[in-house]
Amino acid sequence: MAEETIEVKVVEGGAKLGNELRAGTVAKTGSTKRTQELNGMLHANRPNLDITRARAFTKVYRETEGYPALYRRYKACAEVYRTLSDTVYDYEQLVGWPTKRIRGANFAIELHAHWLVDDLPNLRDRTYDPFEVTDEDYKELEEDLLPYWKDKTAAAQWKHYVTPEEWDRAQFGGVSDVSNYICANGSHFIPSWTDVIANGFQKYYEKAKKLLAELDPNDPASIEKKYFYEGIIEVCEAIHDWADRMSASCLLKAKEEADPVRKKELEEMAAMMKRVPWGPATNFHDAMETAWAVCFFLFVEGAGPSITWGRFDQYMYPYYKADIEAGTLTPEKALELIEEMYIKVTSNVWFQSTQMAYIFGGYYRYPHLDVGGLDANGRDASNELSYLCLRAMRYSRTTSPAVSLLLHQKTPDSLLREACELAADGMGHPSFFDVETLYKMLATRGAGAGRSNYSLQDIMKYGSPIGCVEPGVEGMQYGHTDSGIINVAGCIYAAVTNGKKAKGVDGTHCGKIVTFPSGEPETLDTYEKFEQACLAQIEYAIKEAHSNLIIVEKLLAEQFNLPTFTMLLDGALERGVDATAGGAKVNIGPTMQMVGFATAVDSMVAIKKVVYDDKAVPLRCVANAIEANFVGYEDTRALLMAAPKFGNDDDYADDVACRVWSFFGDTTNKLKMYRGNYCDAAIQMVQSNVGYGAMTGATPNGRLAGAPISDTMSASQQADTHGPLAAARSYGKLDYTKYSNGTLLNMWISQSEMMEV
Amino acid sequence: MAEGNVSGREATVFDFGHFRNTDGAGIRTMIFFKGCPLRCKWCSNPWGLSVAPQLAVNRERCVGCGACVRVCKQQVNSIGEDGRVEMDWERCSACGLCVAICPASCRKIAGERYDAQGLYEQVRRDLTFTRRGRSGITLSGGEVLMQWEVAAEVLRLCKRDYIDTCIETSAFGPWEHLEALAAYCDTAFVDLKHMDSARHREVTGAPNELILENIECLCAYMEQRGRRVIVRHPVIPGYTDDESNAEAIARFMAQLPGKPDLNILPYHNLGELKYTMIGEECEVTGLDMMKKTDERIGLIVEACERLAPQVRVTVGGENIHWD
Repeated sequence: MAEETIEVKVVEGGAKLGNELRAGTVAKTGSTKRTQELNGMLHANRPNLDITRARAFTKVYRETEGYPALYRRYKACAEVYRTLSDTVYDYEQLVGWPTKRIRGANFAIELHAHWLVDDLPNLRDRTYDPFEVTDEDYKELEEDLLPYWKDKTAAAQWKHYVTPEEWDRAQFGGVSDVSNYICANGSHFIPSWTDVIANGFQKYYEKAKKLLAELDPNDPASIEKKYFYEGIIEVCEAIHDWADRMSASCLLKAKEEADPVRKKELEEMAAMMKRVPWGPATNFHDAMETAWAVCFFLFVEGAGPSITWGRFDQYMYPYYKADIEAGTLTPEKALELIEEMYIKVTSNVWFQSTQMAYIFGGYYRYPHLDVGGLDANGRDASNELSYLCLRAMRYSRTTSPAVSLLLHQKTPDSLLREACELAADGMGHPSFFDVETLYKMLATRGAGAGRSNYSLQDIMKYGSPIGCVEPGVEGMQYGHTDSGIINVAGCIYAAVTNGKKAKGVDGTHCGKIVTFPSGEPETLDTYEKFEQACLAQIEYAIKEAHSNLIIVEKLLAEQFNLPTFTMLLDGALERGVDATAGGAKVNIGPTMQMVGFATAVDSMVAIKKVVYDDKAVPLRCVANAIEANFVGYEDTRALLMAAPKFGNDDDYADDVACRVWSFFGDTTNKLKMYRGNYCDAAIQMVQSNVGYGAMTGATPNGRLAGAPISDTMSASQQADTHGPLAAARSYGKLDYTKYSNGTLLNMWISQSEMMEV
Repeated sequence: MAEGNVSGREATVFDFGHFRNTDGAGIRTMIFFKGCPLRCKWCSNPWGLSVAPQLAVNRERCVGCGACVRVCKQQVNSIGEDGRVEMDWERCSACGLCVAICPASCRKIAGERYDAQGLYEQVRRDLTFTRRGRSGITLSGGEVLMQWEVAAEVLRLCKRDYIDTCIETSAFGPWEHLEALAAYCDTAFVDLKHMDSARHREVTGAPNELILENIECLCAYMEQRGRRVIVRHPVIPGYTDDESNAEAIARFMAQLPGKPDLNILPYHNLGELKYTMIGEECEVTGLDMMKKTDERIGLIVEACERLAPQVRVTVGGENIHWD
């Protein structure tokens, strides 16, 4: 394909690094020439749509009308592997790409067709996350693929279970939202890395053959399992076929290569593809190849984000150590391979609906890699790879993966220092996780008020965050995490205005009832009654999201199965149950996600102070003020803004925060999901505070309509005026174990606060 | 001119810092005592000069609502031509009525009374963070010596709780008072402005003999106990940056017991707005921020290299070695 010229828009006054990256002047970063070139290649491409997977699915589904859902689905997934691109680029050492072009999205048409059929004309230049698509592919989508799928997607089928009003409200209402769940099946997963790297897909192939042979034809349970095992076998064969094609492709490229060093490299890569990912990894490079290939397999098969490498420095270390001792690897070479993996995974863009891009925009697909932490005996687990993984990010400077440090009392100072130096580079890496809190969250993961199925050994050996911050355990857990989204700032608006959403903001239901009428302001004559109304609004929103989530969960379990995910779950093959249907040791999600926490808390506190304690204005006046976006109510706004705020170690505000926090967690943890687990709460969604803010009217903390609501679990913007230590003390008052799906605190520290050491 | 000894059971404090990192090792909780016997013309923290509580007003945030005009019994406030509040500072008694009522939160009373236990409560809030490493508290000002009794008691309470302690002082006060503070102090920062006493009097309002004598005593006292003194020298263009001063400082440093570090502070103008907020003007004004690479700093670094080679010289509070 001819190289397209890309027009670079340099934004006057925009972020320097961003402009330089867009202009391609610093995109070529990396520790070696090889990674510099690969990074340049990555940034030379714009996000684009790939229809290979859509074609494969359409072909198989057309050929198998009338067959069982699981049979069709597994066959289609196998067909995807058989049609994956086999391109090998210059400079590469890790083989394989999920798409024909770099930075492509091999999108899941069976989840997206219902909206894309109408929105395809806007896809190339929509405001958030536009995608390039060739004219040829556009035509095929428009005329052939989308019409076939538009009524078959999960969302299109969910529509049959609810009223059109409910269907709209749960996607565009902006208070109780499930739009992140319906189009993102297959996400948030740490596959059994240790096992797949050590054994390869061959192991699952043989296991499925054996279990198929052992099926008792007189057992009714065997009926479905026959298709299950046959499907797994076919998918394994397709993966083997892909690896053979890649090997041939490397050989072909080797033949054409003039440089003898590169020629040798390509021949070795061809040999490597004969070994992995089908069989066991024999060295560090093999192990890296499996780690890369499995990651992108899952990103192609699943439509969602957050395929996670988990405790990468732990399961990779034996290969690293053996190679170093044998003299076949140097730390520099390992660093280069890790950088290449970071660059390649950044190529995986997330294809989302227009509504979702509005909330989650930025293409980012949340892969995640952890270093540090404890070993199974509670000792510090860090090793040389922990340092290399952090250092690689300082060279590659890519957005993906989210690199994080599992922090504990025994973390060596040198590792903490390496992590802090990466943090000081200002790219948002690494995240810091307190492992002791992580373990507590995993101990109740998906279990409501009870204990999860994880043993302490499972947790200590394999536990790590997934995606953003969601606690998980390698190979033992499956479930979509940030699925139900509850905008609690919107709930408080509704509590003050008797269930309404503001006029003139984004989304549907403006000026109408968006939740339920919880009482006119006059009836809320004490603060206790007002707080009850707020909590009742939150509970209503949670329960409405839950009722929608379980319907979609059932649809996904019945029709949208995921063979590769299933293989990579410990014991799922033995159980003969697909991941979506509950094949994991611990099923979690769909979970409940809180957004706008501090905005809600500050709003309640402002009303407590101004309306109930100081009796300066009645609640009706606050209701009128926020409905008018404070126009004509500037004095009321000033009073409300002067009230105490969460994040300053002031119990007047923090007590309310603790009650809202616990109420949300407890209400969520009581709800049972379709696969039998309990719902988990979370507060972690980055950047969505902008989209939900645009859908939320003025709030009683003085925030104007449409402005961003508070970010993650952090204090409201500019509200934490007593410095980072007071803020940290406020955050320390909350009970984190109630949020077993993770919590995220975003703190910005100016450079002048940093010490040169 | 210099105010007298106002020490007693309570002290006036005008600010706290809960996350500072340039006045001591690690993360510091700072307490700023109000009142100073010197009047350095470049003072960057003028709220610390007078020991009496003062009203501070940030006009930038004023919305011109007039609430303060109505509430004030002394008729301090009026709304000016630009729609923002104007102050008649002479009338203000710092009663604080206008502070609570201001919807834009642009007013505060700088200066609250605390006893030692009350100050220690403030310090204790940060203990989760300041107990680790060598973090701790730093008493600053104004001049901490002026309210030495409360300050010494706060230091004692901290030491009893194993918290690292620092003071920042001009050393302009009786040695007995300074010794009372040094007794519970891990590190003492002491200012050295000008070596020529007449010039010192011109630019700070007081001669320097007492200060130099105290610095020598302090260095000897701390050396005997294995603790540390850091001498701080502010480089103020036109006031302390002459070559003869640089050489004199280097000579003075060379003969001090315990070989304390010299920490050079480049001039900054961040305090200018603080003068406006209390209705005063800074005499040293209109100067640019000084870079760490400024040649006037190079002058003293070079003088020390030549005349006091054993003295470790650092520039800026963030670059002190905490080994």
